Amino acid sequence: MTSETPAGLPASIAGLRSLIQRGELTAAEALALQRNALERDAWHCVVQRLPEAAPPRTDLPLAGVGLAHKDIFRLAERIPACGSAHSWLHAPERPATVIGRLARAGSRSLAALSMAEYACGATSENPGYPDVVNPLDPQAVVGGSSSGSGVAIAAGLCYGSLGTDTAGSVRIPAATCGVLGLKPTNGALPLDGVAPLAPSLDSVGVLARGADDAARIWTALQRSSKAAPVNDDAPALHDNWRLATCWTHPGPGVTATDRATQDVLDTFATECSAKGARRDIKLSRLPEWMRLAQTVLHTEAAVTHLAALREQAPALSALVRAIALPGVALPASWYREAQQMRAAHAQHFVSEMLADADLLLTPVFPAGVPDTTEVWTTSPSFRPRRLFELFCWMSFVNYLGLPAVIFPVAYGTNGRPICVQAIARPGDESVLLRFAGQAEMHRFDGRGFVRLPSQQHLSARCEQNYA
Amino acid sequence: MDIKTEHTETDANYDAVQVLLALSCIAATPAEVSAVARTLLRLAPQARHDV
Repeated sequence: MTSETPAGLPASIAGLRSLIQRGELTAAEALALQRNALERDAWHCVVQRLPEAAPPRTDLPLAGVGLAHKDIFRLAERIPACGSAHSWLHAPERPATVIGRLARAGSRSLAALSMAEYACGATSENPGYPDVVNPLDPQAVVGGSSSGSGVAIAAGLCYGSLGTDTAGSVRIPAATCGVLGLKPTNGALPLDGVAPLAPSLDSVGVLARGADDAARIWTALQRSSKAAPVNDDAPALHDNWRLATCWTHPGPGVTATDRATQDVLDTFATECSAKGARRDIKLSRLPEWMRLAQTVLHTEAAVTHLAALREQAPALSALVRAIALPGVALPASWYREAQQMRAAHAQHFVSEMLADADLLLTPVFPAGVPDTTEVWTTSPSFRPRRLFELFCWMSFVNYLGLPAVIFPVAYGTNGRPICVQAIARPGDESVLLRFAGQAEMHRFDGRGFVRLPSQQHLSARCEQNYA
Repeated sequence: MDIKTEHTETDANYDAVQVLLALSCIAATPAEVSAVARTLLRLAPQARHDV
């Protein structure tokens, strides 16, 4: 048996399923090993380990696969606390539909994972919970708000995790921890049983170590248990994509993407685009889309948390109040305008930016993964600009309702990941996962995106990609 | 715009936000009121090309 996770199990779902299907291990044994490993959570990402559930039928596609999710989903065994001191007041009786779909595919939820309070925050900062630690580098920040999900996947404590993404909350933690983060098309997955922040921006997303794991989980999340449809026009080869690229954020006051990051992304884009099929574009409307996204976020967050703001429900932390309070004072006409313009902006994006491209590539962070001390608001070394850098490429994707995936394409000399964001047309999640899978194969020999300091057993080709 | 006028405008925004929050039965600290006023200025539609 190849022991690659703390549970002593193969690092991928495919490897685990192969063992189970060959009869070398039962699904129940695999889950027991994963439960034991979760007891040794040295990174403080686990909020609660869940009681053992009945073992699944071995023939189910995710039988034996242990998952752990952001503590924002109503589970059969738990009403989530959403990173607060209290259980979700308006939790429904039934578990979230997305959790049920994963269970029907044979997976089991092993734990609830830590998060920024009520999903408000681009980092793991949450004074009510132990500080989570980045397995890649304890000085590096863990992004938020699905912070426990990023950490649990990077540490190998589970095969996949659901998070939520309102303005980057799946993609930011994934990018700081060196794992894949998929934010689906708005509305692609049902949101019942998921505590809301800003419902028209919220998406349930997937974090996983590699593209194949993410694709298996994504397939299970679909309404039908059949494999998710793949756009047959998408290239089958790594070097044959039609790409639009934009490395420069046009917003005034936004940090320019640094040279090292640009070089890594440029090399990657050249490597995977067909000759003559790469186009550098300007996203001149990005600042406007960010403004509109923020208008929607503040307004809907204020509605979500109005009772607490009025002190008719448990108090909110300063970080949550900072998101919700402006929404109380924003004129309704600004919100209406932002909503009325959404479909037209999304159509413009697809017809202009993706006119002759399969995907748009952007940076994730313009200047690398910061230290925790730079981006926690209570730190003496807090630098607001560094915090802004964590989400400046994120929220417009939610506003436009598009699917996006982020994953590392290289690691810097400091051992921290350098990630790319790929954005596709609505409904093209499978295209994104195919793109990520080809990049993973080409850059990391198909062994997942995570490179822990203790796992530097890279092939020569992977070492070349260590910038 | 001179400093005096700018100061007056900021004060007006602060006061307006304070009133809006009070009308919504929400208590906020002075720092929160200031932050909300700044956010409103940043998100105002006429400022879209200056964001």
